[in-house]
This record gives sequence, C-alpha cells and structure tokens, in this order.
Amino acid sequence: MSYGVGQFLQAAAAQRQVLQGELSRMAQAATRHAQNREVVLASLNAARADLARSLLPGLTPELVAKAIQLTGYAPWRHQDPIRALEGERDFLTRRLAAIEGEETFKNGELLFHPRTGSVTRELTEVTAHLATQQQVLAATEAHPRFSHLFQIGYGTPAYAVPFWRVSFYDDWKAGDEILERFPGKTFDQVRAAWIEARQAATTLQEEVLRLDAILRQGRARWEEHQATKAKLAVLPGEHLVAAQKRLLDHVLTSHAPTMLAALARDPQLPNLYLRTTALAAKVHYLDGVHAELVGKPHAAVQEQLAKLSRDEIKYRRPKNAYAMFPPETFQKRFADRRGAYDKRWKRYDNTYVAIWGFDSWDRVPADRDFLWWDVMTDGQVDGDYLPDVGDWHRRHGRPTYLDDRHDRDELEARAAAAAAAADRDDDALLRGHDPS
Amino acid sequence: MKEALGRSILKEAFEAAGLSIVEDHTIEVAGRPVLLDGWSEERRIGYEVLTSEAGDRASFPPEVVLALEEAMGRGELFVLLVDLDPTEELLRRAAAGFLGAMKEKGLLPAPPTPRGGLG
Repeated sequence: MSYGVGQFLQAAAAQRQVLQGELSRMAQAATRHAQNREVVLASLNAARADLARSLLPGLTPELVAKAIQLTGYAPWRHQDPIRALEGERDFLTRRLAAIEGEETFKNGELLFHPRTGSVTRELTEVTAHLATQQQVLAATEAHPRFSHLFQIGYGTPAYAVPFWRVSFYDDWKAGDEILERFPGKTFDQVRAAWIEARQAATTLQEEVLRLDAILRQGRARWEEHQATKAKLAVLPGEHLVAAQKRLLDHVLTSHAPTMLAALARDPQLPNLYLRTTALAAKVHYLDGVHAELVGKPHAAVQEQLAKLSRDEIKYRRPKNAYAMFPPETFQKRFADRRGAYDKRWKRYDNTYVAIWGFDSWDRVPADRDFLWWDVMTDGQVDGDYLPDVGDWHRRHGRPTYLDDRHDRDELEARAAAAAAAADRDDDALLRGHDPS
Repeated sequence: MKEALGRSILKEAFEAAGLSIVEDHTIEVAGRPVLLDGWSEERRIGYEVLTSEAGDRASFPPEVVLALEEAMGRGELFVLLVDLDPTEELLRRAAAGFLGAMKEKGLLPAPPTPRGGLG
C-alpha cells in the first residue's frame, strides 16, 4: 500500500521532532564539553607549573646542573641560563649607574618637577609670552587683506596706489577695519607691532621647542630609571620562568619512556611528569571524541532537517497534493533512528567518561612505549578515528602491555561503571568525576 | 558685479556732482584713441571699468593704462579706473572719494545758485 501526502507530512513532523531533540541534546553536550575542557585545562596548567618548579626550583649552579643531569637538556651545557641572567643584570645595573651619574638626573627634581621645576616654570613663562605675541599676530592676520596691505606698503611712503584707482578705496577700507582692532594706533604702528610680534614668536617658538625637548628627555630618563629598577627587581623571576619553560618544552616533547626513565632518578618527578602528559592528552582526546561523535553528527542532522523542510514545502503545493510514495521508500525515509542515536550517545558517554574520569597517572608500563588513550580506556574503547591514536595502533599494533596487568577485576569494574553511567542523565554522568 | 550696474552707479554719481557725462566716448591719449565708459569733455573727467565680467578689455592694454595715469599725473585729465571687481558699496565709496578729490582741486562745476542769489 502506497502512502499519500498527508501521511508523508505527518511522518515528516515526527521526524523533525526527533532531529530537533538530537540537536538540543548535542547543544547541551557541547556546553558541558566546553565547561569540562576549562576544568581540565586549569588542572593541566597547575600540573605544568608543579612539574616546572620541581625540575628547576631556582637558578643556582647546583640546581641547573641537576636539571641538566635529570633531563639531558643539552643547550644549557653551552648557554648557561645563569650567565644570561647575570649578563642582563650587569647591563641593567650599568645603565642604572649611567643614568644616576647624569647631572640632569641628579638635579631632576629641581629641573623637571611638574610644578616647581625650573625648566617646567621657564617653559610655562615662555609659552605664556608666546601666546601674547600670537594674539597680536592673530588680530592682524585674521583680516584677509592684511597680508596684501603689508606687502604693498600700505601706511608707509612706499604705498603707490593713486586715488583714481578703485583699489585705493578698497585698501583704505581694509586698513580702517584692521585699525579698529588697535585703537589709537596708525597702520604703520600696527605694521611695526606685527613685525616685532612675528620675530618674537619665531624666537619664542624655538625656545618652547628647546625647553620641551629638555623636559621630555628629563622625564624619559626618569621613566627609564624607574623601569630599569623595576626590571632588575623582577629579573631573576623572569629568567627562572623562562628557563623552566624551555626545560618543560624539552621534557614534554622528548620520547616519553626515555624521559620517564631519566626522571625516575628523582622519586617525585615521574608522577608529576605523567600527570602533566596525561592531562595534556586528556584535553586532546576529549576534543577529538566530541568532534567525532557530536560535531560530525551535528552537521548531518542539520542537513537532514534542511532536506525535510524543502520536502515539506514541496509536498504542500497543490500540484503535489495527490503524490504517492512507494512503501519501501517511505519506510526507509522515515525509519525510527532513535535507537541508532541512543547507541551513538552511549558510545560517546562511555568514551568521554572513561577519559574524563581517568586519574591513575601511575598506571603506565614502566618498561615500554605507551599511548595514553590505551591507558585511559584500558584498551577497551576504539579511538582509531583520532589520527594520532589510529596511527599509533597501525605502527605498534593493539596494546599488549595491558594484558600484563593483574588488575582485570578493577578494569572490568570501571567498564561496567562507565556503561552504567551512560544510562544516567548526561549531567550527572559528566559531572560525577573529579578530573584532577 | 555686473558691468552695466557699475556704469549706471558711476554715471549717476558723476552727474550728481554736476558733470555732463557722455557714455562710450573716445578721447586721444598719447596719440592713441581710447574709448571710455563715461566722459565729461568740458571738465576732462571720466570713468572706466577696467575689469569686466569677461576680464580685462582688449582696448586697455597696460601701456594705455600707463599713458592714462601719466596724463593724470600731469593733471591733464582724471579718470576713475575700476581696477577690481567691486561691491556696490565700494564703488559708491570710491566714486565719492574720487569726486571729493576733484572738488578739492576745483575741477568740479560750482553748484547752481538760486536765481535771486544766495541771499
């Protein structure tokens, strides 16, 4: 029996509801993952700091030598971090002494104090004098014909425009307008005042620039002195942090079993090292699992919803009112996928919980290479969709070192717990473990 | 300013000063004919708009202006030269100033007196 458009639209509505439910669940999972990620990252940063401090507690020759011996960090055999610190400290100390030896710095307070400094006060006075001259200049130059009158010698015997030219009366009018701004003065006197003001302003402007440069140089020296002193105070700490970072980068990028064996000479270090590498792997794995089992299906569900919308519009058109759908096509299209979705969610939850809840840093084989994924999941969960995990398994095969363990009971208990957790509410599931 | 308006203002001012103005009158200056916008042959006083809306007139090259000004320097004649584009106010002010100078030189006719004398 074929299906009609009414049945198609009814089934589409039901499928839409299921798909929207999936999207909602994915959004919740994404939110939880973001929160979980922050928690693990904070733990990772704390672990890195702990490991760094334990590898190099301070910048002394003995501690640096011990760090080189433990980690095999070769660059420090030729580039001593203590010498680098002392070199910079010497440079800054000499610079500080040079500044303190300058006369202008010694008399800085007298010269450059913002209110009472002699240079400051001189600059203020010269600036005020310049402003007075600029007022005279502005009063004359503000008239658009002043420059012309000045050039043709208006008001002097050199003025040669005869009375029979209209421009003579135009000059006269402009001259009168300018003189209104200088009561009691002749144009010749205004001209002389302008020349004097122009010369004075030029000289004063140069003086302002000179004093301003002295003041700025004085302030710059004072600021450099302050900054140099501050830098000297924090220099040992900065060099230590930089040295710790270099050492940490070396330790964390070296071959793990080799480094682990080397660090074992200090009983405290292996656990700190394993904790750091495990937490880094945990962030990476959680991201990868979420991207594979939530991110990718999310895109597929969105595509299905879009197709559903297009088909609903299509079959609501009057011309398609009597369309019929063969039973096999219809049933395939609207098959109930909730079971498949639940299966995927269960897989996601199991994997996520196994990694999220892992905190047994010492459960690694001491004598061979290992992959944190296998350690965290006891080799029970397929993670080959993660490129590095798949690559490891192709190169090294499936983990056999797990078989050497004699704690199968515990392993099975963890797997059972993870499976049980997957059946519970997602929130409780992902929040019931301490990640650190 | 429109040239026609300028000429009208000047004609009115010059006639108000007692001059009989003939427009577009040709005089001879330094052996060359010069066409003036306004001229009183009796008093040898006139006016000329040098800058028109279209620019300087071709009939007033610099040497002609120079010859006119030299003649004025010698007191042979007086012509108000409009050498820029003035506002109405400036043109009236210039006409008044120029005619005032003519009066000071005694070149303007005396104002008419009442038939019975000044009394």
